[in-house]
Amino acid sequence: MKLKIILFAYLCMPFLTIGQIQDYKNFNYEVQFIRTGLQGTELFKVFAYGRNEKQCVENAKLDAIKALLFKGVPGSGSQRPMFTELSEMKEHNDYFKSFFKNDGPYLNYVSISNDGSINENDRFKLGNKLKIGVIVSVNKANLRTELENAGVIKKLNAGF
Amino acid sequence: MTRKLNYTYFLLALMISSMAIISVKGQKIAAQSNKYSRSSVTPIYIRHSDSRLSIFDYVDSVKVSDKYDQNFIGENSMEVNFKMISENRIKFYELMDQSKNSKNLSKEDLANLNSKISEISKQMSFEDSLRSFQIVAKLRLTKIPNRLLANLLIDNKLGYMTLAKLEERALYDATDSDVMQAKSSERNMSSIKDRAVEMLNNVYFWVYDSNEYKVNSDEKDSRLKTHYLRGSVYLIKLDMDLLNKNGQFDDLIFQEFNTTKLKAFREFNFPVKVIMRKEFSSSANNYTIDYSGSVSNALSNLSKEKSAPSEVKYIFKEDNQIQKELVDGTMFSANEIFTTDYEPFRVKASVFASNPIRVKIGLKEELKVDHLFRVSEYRLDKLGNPFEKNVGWLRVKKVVDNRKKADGKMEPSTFYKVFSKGVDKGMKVQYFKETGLVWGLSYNALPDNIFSGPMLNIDYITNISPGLRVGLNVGGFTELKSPTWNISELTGVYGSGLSFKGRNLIVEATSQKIIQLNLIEITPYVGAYYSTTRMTSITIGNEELSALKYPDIVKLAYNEIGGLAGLKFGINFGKYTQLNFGYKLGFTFSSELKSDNEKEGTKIIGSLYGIPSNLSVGFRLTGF
Repeated sequence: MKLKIILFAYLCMPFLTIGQIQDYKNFNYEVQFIRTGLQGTELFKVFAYGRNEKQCVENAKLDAIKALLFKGVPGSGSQRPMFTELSEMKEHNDYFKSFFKNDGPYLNYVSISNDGSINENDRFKLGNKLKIGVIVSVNKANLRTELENAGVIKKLNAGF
Repeated sequence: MTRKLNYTYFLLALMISSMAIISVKGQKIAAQSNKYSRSSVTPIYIRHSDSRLSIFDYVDSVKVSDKYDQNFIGENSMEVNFKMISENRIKFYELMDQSKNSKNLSKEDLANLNSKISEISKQMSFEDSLRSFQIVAKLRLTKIPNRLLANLLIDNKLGYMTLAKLEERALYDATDSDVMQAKSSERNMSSIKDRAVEMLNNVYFWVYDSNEYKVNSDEKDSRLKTHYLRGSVYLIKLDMDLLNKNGQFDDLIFQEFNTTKLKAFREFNFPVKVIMRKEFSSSANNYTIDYSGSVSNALSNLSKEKSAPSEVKYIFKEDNQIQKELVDGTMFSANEIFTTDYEPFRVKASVFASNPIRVKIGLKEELKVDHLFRVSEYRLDKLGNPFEKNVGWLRVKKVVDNRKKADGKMEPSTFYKVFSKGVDKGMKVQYFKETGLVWGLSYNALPDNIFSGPMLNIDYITNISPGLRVGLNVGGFTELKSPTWNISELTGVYGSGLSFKGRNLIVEATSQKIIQLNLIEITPYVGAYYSTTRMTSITIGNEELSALKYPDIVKLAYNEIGGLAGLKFGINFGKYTQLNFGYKLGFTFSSELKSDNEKEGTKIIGSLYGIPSNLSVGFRLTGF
């Protein structure tokens, strides 16, 4: 019986990994700019999906970083995404996989920007899923430095 | 037989569970996504051309509830040139009095009276709309909105507009979440202060148009009087939407000293709109009972064998106190009515945590223990359109004092489920106004006991402690047969057995504590009862003496006073339905058989109808 469980877990592992990879490439999220924050941070309202409130909040953090990296957020200081060379994404696949893994380094650059409450007007139930709007603060400056140092994006002064 | 019984139980269980499911299944409600924000209120009392009321000496110092910010304009009264009560209204009241005593009227006269009432009601309705028009016109003519806005916006020392007062209000209105967001933004608390101007969207006037003041004397003691004040109260809103739409408000702003602008501001005709008109009433007694005196009297009387009826001591109030109470009562009455009928005044918030259920509201929102809240959540349909779905009902368990500006660390108040599915973080809770009275019917199933028969149950939600209620139960009206008592003195006449038949009336006063387990309630209670059973027949030996034959028997009553304790199990099927089962046991303190012709009855040891106790099954018909 034990052997069967181990075997099943082993067989599932590749799918779990694929899930992670697909996760950061999934651009299905809604992010709105709220206002400029303190010391290189920006506040965004992210509508994220999940099975419960906790998962929605975690997804919101992930989505906020993804939005800044790959899509940009209209109306904010990050209208252009940080990572513009989508063709080079494969090259940095390992980096992104590690960066966006569960409890990964991306969490160092994003935090919830309120007392943990969820506004009643920003919580929607959709079948078995939840869609929740969360205000997050992203430390854009530090995120850029991290990506620059990792060689994922070019430094702003590159070419001068 | 057993099979049939099982089938019946199965059907009953099926019915109960399906009722519960049907009731739990929430209904769709149109989505209302506006955020709750504090409103500000100015009370205005209309001084009629013929008014002699003394309340006007106290209206300037009246205080609005903590739920609102109070706007001060110096004088809270407004003179009008119409009378307190119109000729039509006087006539209407006269006709209504006639209608109350219409038993002796012929059908024709009654129809005539009703037609007159209907005609005068139409005239009054026209008169009321005219009155409302006059009130609004006068409000604007006397520049009350200008005085209010000047008080809110213009700094007297500087001589120009500042948002300082409104910014303070915005900070007081802000939630922990707002403060935390603001603190992590570049502009810090300024982002909350930006909402200062929005506070102008919630400026209201409560305009009191009294039309009756009367003083009723107590029938038994003419010194005891109750003062009544009633009339209409208008909820009027400063129409900032209109001002902003036209861009007129921008033209009125002046942020440096400018006499022309100041003059223009003072003379501007600010728009207001009547939201609703409701009837208010307020009353105040001219006395309070001196309970300290009454208790010591009662204690001293206990030591005497035959005590004279103790005299209740009263403390009489000064007229200014009565008038002040009346004015305070008008504020209370209007708040109750408007909170029930006007959505923006009903507190709403989101669930902060779900185990236990906590919400960040408290005394600032006038929260009290056992206040009822509806829980709902927004859902998205297939097309992505939001709609609101009812989840259940909660009551307040513990109230926190949050009457300070939010700092990000405000304690939440605690709630408990009274009839709800799972409550999750972020769900919407909204205050639901109750009367405080809960009505029900029950039936005491065991026969031939003073507790037997149907009962009307009225419970009052005390708001003192979670689930603490006081109740009044009235009922009985059932024929009881007492056990046969063997009286040796009667042997040889008709036989030694003596038994009584009678129809009972029972009144119970209880204090109960509901232990709520969501849909299930367990309610232990204690109290006192008074029962009187009017005899219908007496059986001596084999001879039954019926009241039909011997009318004097009806004059005989069996009276009993005692204490009681009981336990009730209830299951809520919805906001208006509860099925409950219970058992109660009485402890007889005194009992007597008394004829109407006698001053004193014959004392009986114990209870004539056996130990008072019964099993009850009942329905609660209103409220939880």
